[in-house]
Amino acid sequence: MVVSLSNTNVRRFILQATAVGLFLALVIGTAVQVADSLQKQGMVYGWAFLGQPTGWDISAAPLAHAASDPYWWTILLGLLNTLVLALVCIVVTTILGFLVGLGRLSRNFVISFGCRLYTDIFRNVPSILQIVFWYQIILHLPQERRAVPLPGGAFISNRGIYLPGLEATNGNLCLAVGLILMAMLIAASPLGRRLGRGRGTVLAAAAGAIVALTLWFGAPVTIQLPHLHGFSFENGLRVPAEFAAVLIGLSVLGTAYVAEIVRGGIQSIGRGPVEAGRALGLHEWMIDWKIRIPLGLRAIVLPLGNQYLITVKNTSLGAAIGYSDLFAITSNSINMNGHTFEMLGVMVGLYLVVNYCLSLMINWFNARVALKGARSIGRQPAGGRA
Amino acid sequence: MQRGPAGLGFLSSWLNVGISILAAAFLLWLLVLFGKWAFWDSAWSDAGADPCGGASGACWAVIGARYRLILFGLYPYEEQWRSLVACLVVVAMVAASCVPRLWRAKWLIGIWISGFTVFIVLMQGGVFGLSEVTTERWGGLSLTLFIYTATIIIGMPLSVLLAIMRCSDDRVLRFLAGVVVDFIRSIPLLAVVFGAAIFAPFVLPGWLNTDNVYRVILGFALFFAAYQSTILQAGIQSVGLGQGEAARALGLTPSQGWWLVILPQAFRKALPATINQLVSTFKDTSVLVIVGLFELMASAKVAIQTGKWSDYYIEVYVFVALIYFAVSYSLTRYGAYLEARMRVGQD
Repeated sequence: MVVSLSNTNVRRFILQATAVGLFLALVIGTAVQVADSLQKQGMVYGWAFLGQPTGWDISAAPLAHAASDPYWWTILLGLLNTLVLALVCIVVTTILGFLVGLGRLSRNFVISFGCRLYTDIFRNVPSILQIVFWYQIILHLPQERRAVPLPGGAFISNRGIYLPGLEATNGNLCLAVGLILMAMLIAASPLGRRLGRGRGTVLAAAAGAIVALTLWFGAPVTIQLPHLHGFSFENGLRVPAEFAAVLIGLSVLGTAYVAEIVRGGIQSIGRGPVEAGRALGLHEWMIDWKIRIPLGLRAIVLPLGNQYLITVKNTSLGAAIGYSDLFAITSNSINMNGHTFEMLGVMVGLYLVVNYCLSLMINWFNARVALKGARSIGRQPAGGRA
Repeated sequence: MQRGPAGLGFLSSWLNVGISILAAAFLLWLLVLFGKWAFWDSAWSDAGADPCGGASGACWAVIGARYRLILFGLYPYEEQWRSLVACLVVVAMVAASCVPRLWRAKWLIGIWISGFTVFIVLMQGGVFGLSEVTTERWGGLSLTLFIYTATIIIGMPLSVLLAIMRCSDDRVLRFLAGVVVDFIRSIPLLAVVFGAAIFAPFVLPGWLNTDNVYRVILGFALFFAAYQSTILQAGIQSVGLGQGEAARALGLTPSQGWWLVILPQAFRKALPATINQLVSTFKDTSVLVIVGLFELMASAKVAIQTGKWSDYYIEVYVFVALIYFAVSYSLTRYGAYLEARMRVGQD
């Protein structure tokens, strides 16, 4: 074989070798440089610091935290903060986004105009501006002693929002949960499948039993209303100001994005099914509820999943106002202990894992709802995309 | 969903009339509330120690007093006309890129490179009798525009490279590009920029390592390239195999095939998504306030830090939001117009 540059295989080999060589040189060069500078600056590479106490406390977390916690626990709390915030944001934006998105498609001109105004305004303002803005608003609210009452027994002050909390009173809770689980199990089992539409009856019976139990023994959970005691609130659930601000900021923005996704999905279905519905003599709103929306939902799944991935990543913006999420904890740790590369690795690794798991779930769900053999709907998978 | 047969769906039934009236009343109420705050009850001039003299609405005097800081940061006061002209150059550059007649690769590259050079010469100075102003003193909107244009000028060629790699039939190239793109896409922008800012001092030679701005721009450009490359990839894949084969049959070399046949069509197909990406990149520059850059968001923050103006944060944030909105909304509308124009004859 003659080795010449005009040979495709030779050219391809050279190209490959160059690309791989460059990539390896970049990686190895970086590693060598990093090791060199670490040595020069007297920094120690190692993972032992994960077990040592941090010496600083984080602002808020759903679990107990203190300055004496080791690093690994603090990092896990940061991850938990990220996940909790993302989950709440996802639930809120999905519900509100569907409402606004359907509102935009409404035949009622005033409603569709209002919803369009909302999406147009909030989609075009950066998320961080909205977070900082809402945070400033909350910080300028009255102090706890003069907290503003909200409907439903909640209060809002410059330290956050106080919501009515739930508290389990006695064994009734176990009984109620057991009943619900059993009813769901029966409904999902082969027996339930044979019951067909009777499954609803099983669930209704369980609900009835729980109501009867509540009337007889007292409620399984009671609602604890927050009330002012001295200078601060007792009982109830405190939503810290930082959490509330990030939640409001990301939800206002996310709702606008979800609304656009919902609108686009429902508008994307072809003329065929709708005309088929008309030909069958369905009423216009039957066509909406039985054809447009169910078909549109299938086209919504993947973009909506991408929006969820974006939400998870956007929670890092909470760092701007001191919400202790994964990113904030990482950058704080690096400032405090100088284990730069270990901490960067931990953060990136955790984000990758979370993202990967979420996109697996989205793809699984999409595969379940996709029309079999429908090419137009199963566009590209959501693997780590945003 | 379609309107009713009469076209005026919102008057079709009594229930709908009720809903319409309620919704209209609500919108009107919001409008009046906003109008009262922003116009009728607002104060426009600084009344000394107690600015705005206790007006119940907005105190726009804060903008009059601080707009130079918000727009130009700590740039020397007498030289701020240079900042202003530089910003206008960027605006003109973006506007020129929106004219379909100028959509030739050479022209667009020429416009952006020369516009960027003019921007830097104006801002940096040190030549043509302009005094030198180092990047540490840049700030506000002008720094935002600098970061934005630099990100696109570095990121766009990188994204083309990544997209070509991901579409090549070479498995190794595809894999390498895929790893880089998917890696960057699954971590937050903040983490990418932060990581780049931390890593760069270890990796880059000293002369490239002068200012944090450059490190951040590098990270931001990588982030932009990762997202833009998937958009271009979709564009390339929608061009169709026949085009590449035809190019080869005509005797074009592979690079000529890419440059003359596939990429121009791919860019055209990817245009609406590209514009969306450009818009969100502009909005994303605001994230850089967290890694300590003095861009628009940061200068807004500083503008309300003095005691006299600290109560007027809403006005300042609304002003900054309006700047972002103006850029973002007009580009989005332009994208929608292009999309409609491209759809003609395809339905």
